[in-house]
Order: sequence, then C-alpha cells, then structure tokens
Amino acid sequence: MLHALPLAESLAETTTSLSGWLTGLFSGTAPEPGASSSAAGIIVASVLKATVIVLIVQIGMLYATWGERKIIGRMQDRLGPNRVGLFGLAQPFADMIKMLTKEDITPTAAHKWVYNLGAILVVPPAIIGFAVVALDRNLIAADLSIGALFFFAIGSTAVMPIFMAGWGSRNKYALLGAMRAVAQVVSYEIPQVLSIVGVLLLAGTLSMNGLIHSQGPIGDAFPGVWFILLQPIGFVIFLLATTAEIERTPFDIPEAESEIIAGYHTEYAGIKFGLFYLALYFVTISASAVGAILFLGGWQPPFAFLAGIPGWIWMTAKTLALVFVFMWLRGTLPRLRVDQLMAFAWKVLVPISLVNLMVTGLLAKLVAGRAPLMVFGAFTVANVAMVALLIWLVAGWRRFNAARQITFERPAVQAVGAALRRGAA
Amino acid sequence: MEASIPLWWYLLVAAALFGTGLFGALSRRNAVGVLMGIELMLNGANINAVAFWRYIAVPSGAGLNGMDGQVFAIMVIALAAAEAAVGLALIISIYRNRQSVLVEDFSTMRG
Amino acid sequence: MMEMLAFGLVAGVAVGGAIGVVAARNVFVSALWLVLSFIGVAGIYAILGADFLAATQVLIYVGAISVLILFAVMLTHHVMGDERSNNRQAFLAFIVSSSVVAALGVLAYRTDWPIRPADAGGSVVTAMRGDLAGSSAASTAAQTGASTALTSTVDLALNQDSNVVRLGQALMTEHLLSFEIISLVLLVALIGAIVIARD
Repeated sequence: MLHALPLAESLAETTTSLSGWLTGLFSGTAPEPGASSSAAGIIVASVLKATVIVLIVQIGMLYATWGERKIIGRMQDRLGPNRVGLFGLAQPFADMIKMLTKEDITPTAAHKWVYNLGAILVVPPAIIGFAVVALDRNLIAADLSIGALFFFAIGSTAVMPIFMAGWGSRNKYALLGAMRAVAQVVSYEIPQVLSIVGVLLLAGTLSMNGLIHSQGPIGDAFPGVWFILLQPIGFVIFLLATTAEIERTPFDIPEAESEIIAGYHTEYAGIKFGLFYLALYFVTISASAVGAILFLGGWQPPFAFLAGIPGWIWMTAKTLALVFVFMWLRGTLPRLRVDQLMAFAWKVLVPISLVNLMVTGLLAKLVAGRAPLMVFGAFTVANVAMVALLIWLVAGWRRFNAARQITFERPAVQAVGAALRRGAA
Repeated sequence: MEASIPLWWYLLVAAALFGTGLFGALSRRNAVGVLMGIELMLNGANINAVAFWRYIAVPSGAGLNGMDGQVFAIMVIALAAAEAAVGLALIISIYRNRQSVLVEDFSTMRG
Repeated sequence: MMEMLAFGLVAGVAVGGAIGVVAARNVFVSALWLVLSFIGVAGIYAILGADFLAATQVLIYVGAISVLILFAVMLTHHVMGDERSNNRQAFLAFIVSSSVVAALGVLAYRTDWPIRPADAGGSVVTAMRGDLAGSSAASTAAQTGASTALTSTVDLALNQDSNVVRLGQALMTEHLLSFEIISLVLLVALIGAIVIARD
C-alpha cells in the first residue's frame, strides 16, 4: 500500500538479479523485509520509483537543452535564449508547446507502422538505461549484478529505431542517414565497451554500486582512487566513443544537415521529431552519468573528509561536468567526414583500447594486493609510457605521410626530394 | 512458496521457436529470410540449454561448477554471430553476381 | 502466479515475434519481428536466472546480428517493394515443422526429467530469494555503517554476482579450450566475411 511505503523506503529497496527485477514488477518477492507487504505495494513502489527517476531525468533533459543553447551561444559570442522567462529559463517549455501544437505529418509513401513505431521506440532504450544509474547509495532503481553490461546492452538496441525511422520514411536521405548512423553506432560501440573493460577488470564487478564502492574514499580494490586516474586513456576513449555513439558533434555525420538534410529523422515533424530530440538529450545525460560512475567515483566524495555532502550532489555535479564536456566539444570542433569517422574508430580507437586493455590486465595481475600508492604509481608510469608511445607513433606516421605526399603528388618537389635523397646517400 | 513454472513450459516455448524457425528456413524464398529462420532455431536450442542448466541435476563430478548450460549458450551465440557474418557476406556476394537473393535462383549446380 | 504472468509475457513476445518473422510479407518487417523475438528470448533467460546471458543476448543478437541482417536486407533487396515471400513447398514445410513442434512438446511433457533435488518445485524462486536476501543485507549494511561495515558489504557485493563470477570461472577453467576455439572461429569468420564481401 502507498501509505505503508514512504518514498525514501521504497527508493531504498534494491534488487540485484535481473530475474528478481523482472518478476519483482509482478510478484511479491520483496527484497526489503519491511516492504514485503503485498503485490500491489510492490507495483506501487516500482511505479513510484520509476516516476521519480523519469521526472528527475525529464527536468534534467529540459534544462540540458537550455544549458546547451546558452553555453554554445556564449562560445559563439551570442547570448542564447533570453526572451522567455528570466534568463530564458522558460524556453524549454515554450519549445515543448511549439512541438506539441505543430501539425503531425505522416508522408503518404511511408510505411505507417514502421514510421510511427520508429519515433516512439527511440525513447525507451534511452530511458531504460537509467534503471541502473545510481544517483545515490540507495537512489537506484535496480542495482543489478550485471549493471554496466545491462546499460551497454540496452544502449546497443538504440540502433533499431534508427533503422525503422530511416526505412519507414521511404526517403533516400532518411535511408542514407540511417545506414550512416547505424554503421557509426555499431563501429564505436566496440571501442566504447573495450574502454570500460579495463575499469571492470580493476573493480572485479559489474554492479554499479560495486563499481562506485571500489573507487571511493572507502573501498575495496584501489581505495581512494577514481578510475580516471588509473585509466586515463580508457576515459578519453570512452568520451570520444560515447560522443560518436550518441551522435553528437563532431560525430553527428548521420544528421549532417548540410549533406543529407537531417538524416534518418528528415521526414519527422512536430512531436515525433521532438521524441528524437528528447532521446538525444536522454542518452547524453545517461552516458554522462555512467561515465561519472565508471571513471569519476559516482556518488562518492573524492576525499573522505568531504563525506558530509550528500552523495546525490556529488553525482549530479560529476554528471553535469561530463554533460558540459559534450557541449564544449560541440561548440569547439568541426564535423568529421564519413571516411575519417570510420577510419578513426577502426584504425585508432580500437587498437589503442586493445593495447590499453592488455596493459591494464597485465598490471592488475602484477600489482594485485599491493599498497594503493604503489598501484597508483605503477599505473601512472604505464599510462605515461603508453601516451609517449602513441605520440611517437603519430609523429612517425605524419612524417611518413608527409614524405609520401612529396614523393608521389608533386612532380617538382619530387625531383628536388629525389635529388636531396641522392645527395644524402 | 509460490507455484513455480514447470520445466516443460520452457521446453514447449523452445520447441515453438525451433518449429517456427524451421518453417521459415524451409519456406522462405529470400535467402536472408532463410537465415532468420536458422537464427530462430538456434535461439530455441539455446532456451533448452539454459532451462536444463537451471532445472536438471548436475552430476557432482570433480571440478565441475555447473555452468555448462550457460557456457553452451554463450558458445552458440558466438557461433551464430560468426554464421550470420559469413552467411550475409555470401548473400551480398551472390547478389552482386546474380542480382538476386531468392534461393530458387541459386540452383545452377543442379544441372 | 505472478512469476507465471511474467513468463507468459516474455514467452508470448518470443513466440509471437517468431510467428511474425515467418508471417510478414516484407523481409525488412520480418527482420523487425525477429528483433522482438530475440528480446523475448532475453526475457526468458532473465526469468531463468541467467542474467549475464540475457544481457549478452540483447547485446549480440539485437545489437549486432539483427543489424547485420537489416544491413543485408537494405543492400540486397529492392528496399521498398513487397513480393511473394514463400516458395511452393510452404505447405509441406508447415506440416513438417508443426509435427516437429508437436513431437517435441509431447516429449517434453511426457519425459520424467531428473529435476535438481535441492530446490525441486521452486528452483527459480528459491534461488531468486537467495539473491535478494544477499542484496537486502548488502543495502542495509551500506546504510548502517559506511565506514565500519564496508568490507562485509564488498564481500556481499562479490557474492551477489556469483553467477557471473562462476560463469567467468567456468569459461577460464573447464571450458578454456572451447573458449579459445570459439575465439579462433570468430576471427576466421571475421576475415572470411571481409574477404567474401569485398570482391
């Protein structure tokens, strides 16, 4: 019953197995002894919990759009929205009303079912991921034992609505945009997952709270150290791959409005376009939250003496910091070309993340059970060495490329180069 | 204690998936459709493996930790991925040469 | 009772999706039904307590294999057209496959399966209860004393995903050879697919 389940208590209950979570929605197998009253109570608690989380995310999403426009505006020497409400704070609501009142157009050639379902199904994968995001020690819908894997599995289903939207619209640009988008998302999924495997390896768990516990001021594997310090290369790869995964600039090739209009959502208008927009910000926030959990210690304070500040404030601050990084990237960098994009995933990110993973595994085996300071030192040395190697390789590759260009592309310079080489030899 | 699901329910669902996949593999004209049928059959077999892992007694042998069913399912999933990749590459290659993906057009070997 | 409802839901999704695969006239739509069926199968794994496998199913089947299939449909098919989808032996195939289902169903029902004795009758529920008990203990421990009871919390956290840990151990010990072979098969398939599709 509702009155028997105060909000805090219902938020405090956690389930660990997917089976428990799934059947828990229907059955009375309650994890909390105090809350195990009735099936109705459990359903009410689940609905409450889901509502609270979706509301938090919804408000976060609305103000993420506002914040993005303000920040990008400032970066481009503009003011950003400032007409509706104080500092333009009511702008998201004005936009919402605009989208809801626009005409709902379905192209006559479109496959009605696939077209409409594509727009609807874009949102669930973006929201379900929040089920395993821990805003605080107990403010988590389901602390599954496979939490991190669950998040990325749900994230990988996000390509289906893209396919449906692109194919259902029966528009060449939409189809092209969908194929570009799916190729990009599938390619960048590999470095994204590989970059977090190092973290999972160090933590020895997939559960979100377990991951947070192993990097707080109090913890198990490497106490007091955030994984960003042990896995800086992994963090950078995660950031880049996630930017591509959620199709934000500079990786927004699928919707490149100057090339293929707007990609797979070309044919969508009104609130159906709004749903794509919504999903974009949902995944931005959820990816930032997971990045904060995996690399920045989640709701744990950085130092033990700061433990007085509640966990959800830390978590929110870290998440917003990462959201800001995504917006910063958008305001700073130009869009890549399609071939550069795929080459970057397969020739740069995947090899680096594989090397990073191998080094991490080796080091984790070597320093297992040592003092935290020594572990930290060993990882710092290894990371510096890897970055140095990478810089050396990139510099060598650029020199090689420059030499090749001179040799093959400019006859006059080629002759000079040949003469020089003969002179040198 | 709640009433639990009997094992044969799972086996029935697995059989239904297997049978539907078999029908698809036998009756589809499109080679991609045949491949989809095969994927369904593999899924049916996988449900069986996991259901047996959950329900059936494991002989308490040396070193066995009783995860064989799940390991088997993971192997099948990996094999299905390999099969899909190679199968679809073949279909694309055939399409390039013959401009068709209908299996009845691939019967040049029949003489 | 409620567990049966959950089972009915996911089994309905799995079988309904499968029927959609063979009933749809358009190959693209049939691939979308296939995705639904895969998600239903993932739900069945989840109810069986194989969490890791459920997530793997979604990650590999929905996120990778379905994408491959949809790409193949888009690259080969006249994307927009409907056409006759079944061949002449469809009726025969229906008889064969329905008799296979009937035979398998009767066998599954009639066979006296050696159900695991320890938790006969309520295997899933008891196993689940065990997991949940561990979790609630962990969360209460985390609530009561953050600084004092932490080691025990971490121990419990490790126990919680014992299923995943055991699966990893099984893959790295008794099934190591098959694990290596499957990796090799994947590598060979990857190279083979690229070579075939390129020329």
